[in-house]
Amino acid sequence: MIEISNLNKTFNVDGNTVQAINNVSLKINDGDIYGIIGYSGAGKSTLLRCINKLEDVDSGSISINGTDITKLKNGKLRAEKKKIGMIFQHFNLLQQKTVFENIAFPLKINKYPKDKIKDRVLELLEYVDLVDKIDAYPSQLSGGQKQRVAIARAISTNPTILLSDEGTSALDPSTTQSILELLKQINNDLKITIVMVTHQMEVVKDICDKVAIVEKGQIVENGTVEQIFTSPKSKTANLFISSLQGDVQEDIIDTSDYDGKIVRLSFLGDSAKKPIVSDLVRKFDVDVNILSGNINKLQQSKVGHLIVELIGKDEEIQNSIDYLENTCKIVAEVI
Amino acid sequence: MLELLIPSILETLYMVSVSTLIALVIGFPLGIILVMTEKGGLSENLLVNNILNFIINLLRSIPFIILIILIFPLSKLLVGTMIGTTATIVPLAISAAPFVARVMETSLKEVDKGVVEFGVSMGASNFEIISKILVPEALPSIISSITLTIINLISYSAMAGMVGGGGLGNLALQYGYYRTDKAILYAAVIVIILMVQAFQLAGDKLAKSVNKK
Repeated sequence: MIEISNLNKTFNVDGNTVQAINNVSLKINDGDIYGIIGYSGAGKSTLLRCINKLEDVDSGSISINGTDITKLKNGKLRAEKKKIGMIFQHFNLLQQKTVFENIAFPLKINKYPKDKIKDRVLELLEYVDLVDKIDAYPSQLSGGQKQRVAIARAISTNPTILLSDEGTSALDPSTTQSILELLKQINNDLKITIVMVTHQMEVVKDICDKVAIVEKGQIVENGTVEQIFTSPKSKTANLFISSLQGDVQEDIIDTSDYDGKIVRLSFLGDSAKKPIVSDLVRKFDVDVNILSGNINKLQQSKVGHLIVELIGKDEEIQNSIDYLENTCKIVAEVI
Repeated sequence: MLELLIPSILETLYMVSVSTLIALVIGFPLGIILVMTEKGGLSENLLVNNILNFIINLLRSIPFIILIILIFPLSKLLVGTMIGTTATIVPLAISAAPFVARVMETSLKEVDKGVVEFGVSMGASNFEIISKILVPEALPSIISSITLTIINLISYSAMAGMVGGGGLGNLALQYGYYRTDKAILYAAVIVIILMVQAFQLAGDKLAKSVNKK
């Protein structure tokens, strides 16, 4: 388990102090795929880099399975870092070394038995499906292949945690999908906790169990991806969700164009399957006009959004909203 | 003419190769220290960095011909004489060492910060980062830097010939200038040009062949 408590970190930029991380506390359970999302400059990468002490912190603690990594130095710190793999936006492969040498690198540093290195590298290459590239140099690989090599290298020493700093941000959408699939598979097969920093809500939607939304060095909202998708509280969370393609375009709907009440319905999992619209019409004296709708597939379930116009007496409309919220367990929000 | 040229060529090669080796032994670690101690470096130490920078700049600002004279007592102390090829190696090495430190620093700085960060993130020690990441990644550029050093030293060794060193410079001076034997003068110049071309060509080829980027 990774437990971050009251973490603070400031940078000195041209004489100005910038609070990169402002009193952040966060708990990441073993086996989670935890997303940290935010706009650039929000402090998400800095937060991630504190976890393996690529950045020193000003105050607070980061405990990894009970060991406070912020207090460690030199040899003990290096030993702890060896339990944490990391992948990067620009892959950071050794350009002058082959795929084989790149993956063997952490093994050699970790004094892995020499005669077993070759087998281990082959096993990893099979896992990431790049056996035929064993003698290639990074410059001969595509972006997706480079990231696969980087992933194989990061997990070669069987770490318990894998950090991804914008690991898919430099890749095209279909390659991103294949890398995400690989990460999901690693999480599933090897029970490695994955913490991934991203600015793409797609990534969070596709593979994360939980997500923290970071803004100005603070976590403005965190929880399971389902929670954030069904009832985002912060403006940033809303913006990220609406950034997804095919999402409800609230901006386009001008409430003054309609006579009735515009209501945004968010439903999760089973409630998505109920015929709620015909339910409403039958039970209450209201008309329902569907303005827009969509459904997002998440890691564990589905989240649907529907924007409807409810036409009728105020009282009937209020009753229908209460009914939706209390009986159908749907989040209804009057826009 | 050949009986004059060949010993001079060998002397020049001897002076250049030994002084290159010494300059590398001194300058290479200094270049590494410069990169490690600079602001944001792996073991940032601005005091060490500033002092080292000052000394390197100081040595580099002394014209070579004056350095030779300044260093006469040291040459005498180290090799027992102030003239001849072996004595010339001392000022050559001392003038080339800070140059090597500077070009090595530049070569090492060219290495992508990301791969160094990868080393830090996976728990490699500073020594492992230098020996297994920084230097191998910078190798093509390091080879180019060594080529540059050798070519500089060929030209400096010719200059050293003027003040009692041996080699092609001395040959050109003694026979070409004092005895006005134009043939020897031109021959010495042509050999020096060919030598520079050959080292440059070989250095470029080698740098290119080891570069996998």
